[in-house]
Amino acid sequence: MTLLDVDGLKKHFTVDSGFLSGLLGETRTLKAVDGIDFSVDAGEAFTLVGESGCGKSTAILSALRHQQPTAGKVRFKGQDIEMYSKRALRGEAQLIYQDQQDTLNPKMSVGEAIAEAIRFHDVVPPEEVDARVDDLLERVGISPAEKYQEPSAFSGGQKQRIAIARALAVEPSLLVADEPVSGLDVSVQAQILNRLMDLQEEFGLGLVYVTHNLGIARKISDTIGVMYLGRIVEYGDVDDIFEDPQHPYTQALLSANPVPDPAVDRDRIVLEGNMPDPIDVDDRGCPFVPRCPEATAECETAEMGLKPFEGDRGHLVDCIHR
Amino acid sequence: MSQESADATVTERPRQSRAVAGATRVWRIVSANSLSLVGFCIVLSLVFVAVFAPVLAPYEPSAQQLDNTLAPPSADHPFGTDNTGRDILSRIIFGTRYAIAIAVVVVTLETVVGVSLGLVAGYYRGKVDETVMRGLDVLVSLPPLLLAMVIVTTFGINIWNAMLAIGIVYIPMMSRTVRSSALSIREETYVQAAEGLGYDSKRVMLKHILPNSVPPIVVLGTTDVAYALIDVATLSFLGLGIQPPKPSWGAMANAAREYILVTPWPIVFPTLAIAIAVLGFNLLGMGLRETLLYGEDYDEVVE
Amino acid sequence: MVSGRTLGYLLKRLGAGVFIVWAVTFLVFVLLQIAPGSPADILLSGGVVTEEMRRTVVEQYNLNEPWYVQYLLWLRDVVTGDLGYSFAQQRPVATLIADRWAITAQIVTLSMVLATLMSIPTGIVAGYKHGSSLDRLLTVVAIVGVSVPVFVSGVLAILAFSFHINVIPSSGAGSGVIGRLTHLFVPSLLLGGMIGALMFRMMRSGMRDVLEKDYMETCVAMGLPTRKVVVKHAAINALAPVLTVSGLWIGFLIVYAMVVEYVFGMGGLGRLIIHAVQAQDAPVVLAGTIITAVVFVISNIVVDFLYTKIDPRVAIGGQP
Repeated sequence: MTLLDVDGLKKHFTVDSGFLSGLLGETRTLKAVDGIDFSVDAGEAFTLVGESGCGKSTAILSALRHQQPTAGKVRFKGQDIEMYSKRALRGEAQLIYQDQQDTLNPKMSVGEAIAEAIRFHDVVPPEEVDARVDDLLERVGISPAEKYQEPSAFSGGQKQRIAIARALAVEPSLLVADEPVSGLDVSVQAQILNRLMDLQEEFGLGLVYVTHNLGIARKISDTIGVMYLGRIVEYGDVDDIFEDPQHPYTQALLSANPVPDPAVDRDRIVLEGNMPDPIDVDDRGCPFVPRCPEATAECETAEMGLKPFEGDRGHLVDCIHR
Repeated sequence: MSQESADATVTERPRQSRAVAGATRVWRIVSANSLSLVGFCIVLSLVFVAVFAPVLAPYEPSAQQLDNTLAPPSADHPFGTDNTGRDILSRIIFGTRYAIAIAVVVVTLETVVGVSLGLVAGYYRGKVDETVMRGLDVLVSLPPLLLAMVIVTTFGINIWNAMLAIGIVYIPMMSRTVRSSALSIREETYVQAAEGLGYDSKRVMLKHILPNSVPPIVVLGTTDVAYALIDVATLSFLGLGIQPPKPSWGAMANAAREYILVTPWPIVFPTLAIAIAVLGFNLLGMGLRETLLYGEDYDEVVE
Repeated sequence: MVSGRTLGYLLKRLGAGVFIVWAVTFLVFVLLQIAPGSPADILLSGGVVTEEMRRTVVEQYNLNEPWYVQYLLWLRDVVTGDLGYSFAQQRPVATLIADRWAITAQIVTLSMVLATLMSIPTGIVAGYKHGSSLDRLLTVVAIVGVSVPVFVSGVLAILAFSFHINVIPSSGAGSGVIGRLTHLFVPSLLLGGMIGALMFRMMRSGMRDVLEKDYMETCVAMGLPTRKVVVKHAAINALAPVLTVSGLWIGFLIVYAMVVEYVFGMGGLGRLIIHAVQAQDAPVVLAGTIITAVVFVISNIVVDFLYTKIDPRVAIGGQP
């Protein structure tokens, strides 16, 4: 079953360019997300990969109405997402934040924080809440005896796991994780990722994962979307993308990052220049042109869009040379 | 409503151990600083005296001894007697009840109205915030005592109008403090996360923002009680607040003013009582400010 | 020089000030409307009411018109300086106030000067030597200072000086410059002590905050002599918040000046307004309120202007 279906999602910000030009009505638009499509099935793990600033966080935040998108259609379980009440939507789709360890209210015991989420979304009858809290804490490796403690009594990794337990307490069908382990030690990262994958399998959750870390993307995903400047430039099965990358940007990303797979051998491609300011991006042509080793005059004006690559199983790429 | 009451029972520790833990916590915060410790002792004694006034007072506060007026301090009347021969010590002891009543009225109005306004303004921001804050700016532009005078002029001079007027005029400062605290707390990740869990605005404000803005509320509330005591005493001294023969300290000082040439005691003791009560709340407030808002050792104290 | 931005900022503050004064008049008007009893009764309640007086007040305040007409006509009178008529004292309110405002203004000014002299140097020292026994002593003195209501210290001062030592006059306002100053000195000292205690507290914590900033360490590290660093950089930075707050305290100061005048038996605004409240003479109290609001607004605009001189960021940033 398709859980989340995103179609043509755009999120533009108006940039304040100073007092005077504001008076003259000159506004500039930052196209953080500029028309992306993807879908996630129950039990599927989908990862949005890209450098920081490519709009991947904005994409999921506006897909799930944490921000109001500028344009686009989002369907959740086949129904327009606008039809859901805030409470119902948050009960179905939970977000795990970048700084998840700071998402716990410092003045509320961790047990109370989880219980509050369970009660608010009426997950179980009131008399079972306590047992459910203990159960969830155990699943993320925290002793239920510690549930009366406030968050300050726990380490960063423990808080992260408690916050994940709280997100799961709601019993969502979709979990959205935005770089949930970026601030943690590598060993703790692995621990949490494994825990997350186990839980995802156990509950049959859909998972949307956002990261710039290709190693993590490969480890946890079934499908991957590679984002560049607000667009998905390559989309497909995790193995297809890692073993046969098509878009020059994906190729460059992969060559720049050591991927723990010695079977894959490729030349290092070095990208020239930095990612341009998304404000200055032209509507026409391929946004990757300034840094692309294969760019031609044609690329500057071409009509862009994801197209199936040689009719391969759902492997899509946004490059006129493929 | 049922959900809220359930909140308190399911995952919390048993009530008794919570009360003990709470008291221990209060004691640790208060005793962290010598100023707040002294202040706390003064305030606690005031409450004690107010509660047990009938037991502690040697005489009825209104019992007149017309053959023994304006007497200087003596063994029978440690603080002397006033112009109708009433025992000044007993009247001062009963006067603590007015001081505590003023504290209760001010704290109640500040927390119920002031905190709610500040929370709403800081949480919703934008137009709501603008409107609330502009309204409060107007109240702030008038000194509390003057606004209280206007209120008693239009609504009549009596104890309730005086206490309510003083309570009302302290609302704006509290709202401003809570607002600025709410403005920064609502940007915290844990508040964003609470909204991410779908919680309604009432829950986010009351269970997630409010508990985290308690320190400035406690500090300001304590200091404001001190100022309110001064203002009510001043109003009463001017004959605009609590009226004689009620044994309020301000009213006693007012009544004794006429006899200042004859004997100073009827005016000295009530005014000292006012100063000590105000000092108690001021010391407590200042000490708490150091501990709760600036203290480098705050974490050690509280955790 | 006043730059365009500074001017814009000051104009914005002026607009806010006009709004506040307007809102105070509206608040006062609303209080009259919602208070128990008719506005005519409240406005007349200061004395014996005759049918003729009632007709006069109904006519003067247009009490037969709908409330918004009443308000607009009354507002027009206030703007043109007609502050109403005190039926209790049988004189126009504007005349009553004109006769008495000077003493209050003198007390306010003198106590502000005394407060500044007492609090700024001590605040700098206490903040600099934070934690020392001198700092503790000054802090305790300041707490006692804010804890003693001015009427209490006033009464005690009268007791101590006038009756027992008999060096300072205990009532009246004196005549001539010297006479006036000797009469004003003790009341102003008490009031200045109370305000000074508040200013001391701000100055002290301001110094502490500034001295803890990194750039202070940079100044010292760069070899500036400590004394120079402290006095010049820290004190100027710490002064800014004191200045802002002293603007906010001006209303407070006016009212407590009234209390002090009353205690010392001087014929300033204090006695006028406090007697008016006692006699429920509403026109006088309402006019006093509006005038206090106007003074408050003007002094805060002056403070804002001074502030832009001390701290240019205010004008440039636009958001205080």
